Amino acid sequence: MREIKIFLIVVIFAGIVYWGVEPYAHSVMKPHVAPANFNFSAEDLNYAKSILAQKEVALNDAKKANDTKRIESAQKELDKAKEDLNQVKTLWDKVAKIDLSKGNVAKGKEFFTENCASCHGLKEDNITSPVADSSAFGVIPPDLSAAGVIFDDKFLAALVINPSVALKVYHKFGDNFPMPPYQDTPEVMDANIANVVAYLKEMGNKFETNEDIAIKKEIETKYQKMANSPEKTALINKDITFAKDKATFIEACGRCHDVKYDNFFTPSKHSDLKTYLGSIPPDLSMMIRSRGEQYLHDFINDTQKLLPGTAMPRVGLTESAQAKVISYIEKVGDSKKEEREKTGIYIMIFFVILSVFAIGWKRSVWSKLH
Amino acid sequence: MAHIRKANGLIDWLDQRLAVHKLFDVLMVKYWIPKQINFLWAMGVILTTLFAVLFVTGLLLVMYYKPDTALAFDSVNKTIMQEVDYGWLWRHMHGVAASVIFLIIYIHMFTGIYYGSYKRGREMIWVSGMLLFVVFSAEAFSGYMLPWGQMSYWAAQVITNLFGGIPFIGPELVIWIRGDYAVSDPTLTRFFMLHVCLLPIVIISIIAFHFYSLRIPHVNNEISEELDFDLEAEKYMAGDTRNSKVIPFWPGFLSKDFMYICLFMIFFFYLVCFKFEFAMDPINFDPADALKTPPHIYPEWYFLWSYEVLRGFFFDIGGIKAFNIGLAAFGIAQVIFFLLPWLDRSEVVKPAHERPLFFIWFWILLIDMIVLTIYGKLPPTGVNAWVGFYASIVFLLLLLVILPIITIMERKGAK
Repeated sequence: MREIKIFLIVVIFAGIVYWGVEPYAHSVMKPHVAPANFNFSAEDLNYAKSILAQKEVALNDAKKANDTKRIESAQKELDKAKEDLNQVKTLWDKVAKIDLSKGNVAKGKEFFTENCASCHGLKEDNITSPVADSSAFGVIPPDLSAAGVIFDDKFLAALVINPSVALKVYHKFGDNFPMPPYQDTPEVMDANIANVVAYLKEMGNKFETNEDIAIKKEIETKYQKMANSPEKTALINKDITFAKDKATFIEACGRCHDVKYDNFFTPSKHSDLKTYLGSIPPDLSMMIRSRGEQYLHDFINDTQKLLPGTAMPRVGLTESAQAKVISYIEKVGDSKKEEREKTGIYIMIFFVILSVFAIGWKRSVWSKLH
Repeated sequence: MAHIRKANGLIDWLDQRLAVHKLFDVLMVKYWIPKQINFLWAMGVILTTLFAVLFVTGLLLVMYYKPDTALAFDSVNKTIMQEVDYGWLWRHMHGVAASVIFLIIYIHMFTGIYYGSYKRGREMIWVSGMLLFVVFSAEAFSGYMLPWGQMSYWAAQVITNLFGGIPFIGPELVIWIRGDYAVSDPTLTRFFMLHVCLLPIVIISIIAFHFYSLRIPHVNNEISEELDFDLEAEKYMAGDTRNSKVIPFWPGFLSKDFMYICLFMIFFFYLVCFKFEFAMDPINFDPADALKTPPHIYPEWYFLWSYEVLRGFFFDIGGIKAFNIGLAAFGIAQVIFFLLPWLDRSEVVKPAHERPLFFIWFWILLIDMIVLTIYGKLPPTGVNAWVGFYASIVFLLLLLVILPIITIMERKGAK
C-alpha cells in the first residue's frame, strides 16, 4: 500500500538522522575505555600499557613528520609512560607477595595505633583522629571504621605501600602526597600490612553490623505510628536500602563532594579542598543525569581512564560498595525514575485504547465518504 | 439590531448573539479539504497539538521556574523535577515536544516541497510557514537557555556571538542582545521574557495567519490536482459524498487526524518516559560554568544542518575570513527556503515523482541536509571538516543554482 511505503520512507530517514546524531556521534565523541575492572592490579597494568602504546604511536607519528621539537616532547612523554608503568608494576608486585589471609588482628591494631592513628581515626574501636578539620591536609583524613568492607583489600595493601600510586594521583602530588609511603624491610612490611588489613576488615565487619542495626532502629522508629501492612514493610525496606547506600556514599565520596539535593555537605572546607585539589569538587546531585550510570561505573573504578589528569583519586571501592554509591547517586538525582517508567506505561496504554476508538470513529465517518 | 426572540436552548441563545452556527460552518463544516491525501497531511494538526502541549506544559513550568542565574538550575532540576508532583512529566513533555515538533516541521516542509505545495497561489502558505519555522527556532533557542546548564550557557555564548559578524553594528548588537558584555543574568532574564511572552504571542499570530492563508488557495492534494472546490463542495452537499473530491474539515478530515494524533501520542509518550536523552542533553544537567568549556559544543539536532553550513567554511578564501564566509552562508541558509516559490522557475505543479529532474534534486537535497545534520554534531576535525565543507557547498548550489536551472529546463521542455 502506498501510504505504508511513504510511512516507511519517513521512518527510515528519521531513523538515520537519529542514529547519526545520537548513538553514532556520541560514540565518536566519548573516549572508548575498557570496562570497569575490580582487579586493580590488572586494571592499572593494562591502563599503563595502553598509555605507553599511545605514546609510542605519537613518537612514530612525530618521527614520520620529521619535526624535531615534536619528537623531543614525544620521547619525553614516552619515557614518562615507561616510568609510570614500572612504578605500577613495582607496586603491584609487592602487593602480590603479601599473603593477606595470614594477618593477625591484634598485631594489626598495634601497628595501626603506632603508625596510622596520628592522622586516622577508627571510631568503631574508640580511636579518634587528632586531625579535626581540613585545614592541615586540605581534606579531613578518613576515619577507617568502614575501610575494611568498602575498599578492596589488595587496594588497601597497595595504598599503605605507596599511596599516591595506588590512588593514581602521582601525576599531581609526586612524592609529596600527604600520606607518606610505608617503608621497611620486605618481611616486616609484608607481615605488618597483612596484619593491618586483617584488623581493618575485622573492624569493618563489626562497623557494618552495628550500623545496620542502628539504621534499622532509626527507620523503624520513624514509621512507628503507622499500622503494620505490606506497604509499611515496603517503605521501611526502601528507606533502609537508601540509608545504607547513603552511608557507603559518605564513607567513599563524602569527604570531598557535596550532594545538595539530599542536603549533604562535606565536612571539609571548600577553600581547603580547592587549595588541595586545584578546584572545588563538583556537587554530585545531578551526576546520574549528566554522566549516566555506565560512565560513573567506569569512572569511579579508574578515574584517570575517563578524565586523564584529574586530581580525583581512584577510590578503590569493591564492586558491591561501588554499586551502592551509584544507587545512592541515582536515587538522589533521578528520584522519579520508578514513577516515570510506571506512569509512562499507563499513558501509553491509555493512548492505545483511545486509538482503537479513534480508528472506529474515523471508519464510521469515512464509510460515507469512500 | 437584529431581532432577538426567546431562545430554545443555550446554542440557540448563543447563535442569536454570536452566530455560532454560521461560524462553525465557515471554520469547520463547510471548510473543504481534498479527499485524495495521505497521512502526511496530518502533520499540520499534529503540529498544532504539539504546540498546545508545549503551551500547557509551559504554563505549568512557569509556575515554578526562576529566571535568575543563581536559582534557575535548581528550580528546574530540584523543584520541578523532584519536588513538584508530576513536575518531571511536564518538563519531559515540554523538552521532548520541543524537539519532536521540529521533526514534524521538517516532515511538513519536505511534504510541501515534494508535492509542490509552495507554488502557484500557495506562496503565502509557504512563506508564513517558513516564518513560523524561524520564530519557532528562536523560541527553541531561548527556551534551551532557561535551565542554565552547561549547554544552555555555551550555546547562548556561541549563538549570540554570531551577531558580532554583522558589518558595522555587530559588536554593539551582541552587547544589546545579551544586556551585558558576556552572557549572564540579564541575558537569562530577557530570554525568559522572549520565551514565555513575546515569541509565543508572535507564534500564535503567525499560526492564525498560516491557517488563514490556506482559505483561498486551499490545501494541496496527493496528485497536485487543481480542484474546483465550489463545484466539488456542491456535489458533496447535494449528497454525492462518494464521488465528490472534497471532504469537510469536520468531521471528515479531523476524524482522520484524531486517529493519527492518538497513534502519534503512543510514540510521543514512549519518548517522554523512556527515550528522552536526544531531547534533553546530558551535558545540560551540569550547572552553567563560565570557566569550564565543555569538550564538545553543539546545538540541538534540528539546528545542526545550518550550524554545519556555518562552520563548513573553515578556511579563508580570497582574503575573506573563514568566519565571515561561514556567517554569510549561514545567513543565506536561514532565508533561502523563503524564496523557494521563486527559485522554482517552472509552472508545473505536480508531485516530485512526476517531475524527473526535480525528483532527483529533492532526494539529493534531503540526503545532503541529513549529511549536514550528522556532520554538524561530529567533531570538525580531519575528513569531517571536508565533508562539512563540500556538503555546505552542495546545499548552497542545490538551492541557488541547480533548482533554477532544472526548473527552467522543465518549463522549456514542457512547451
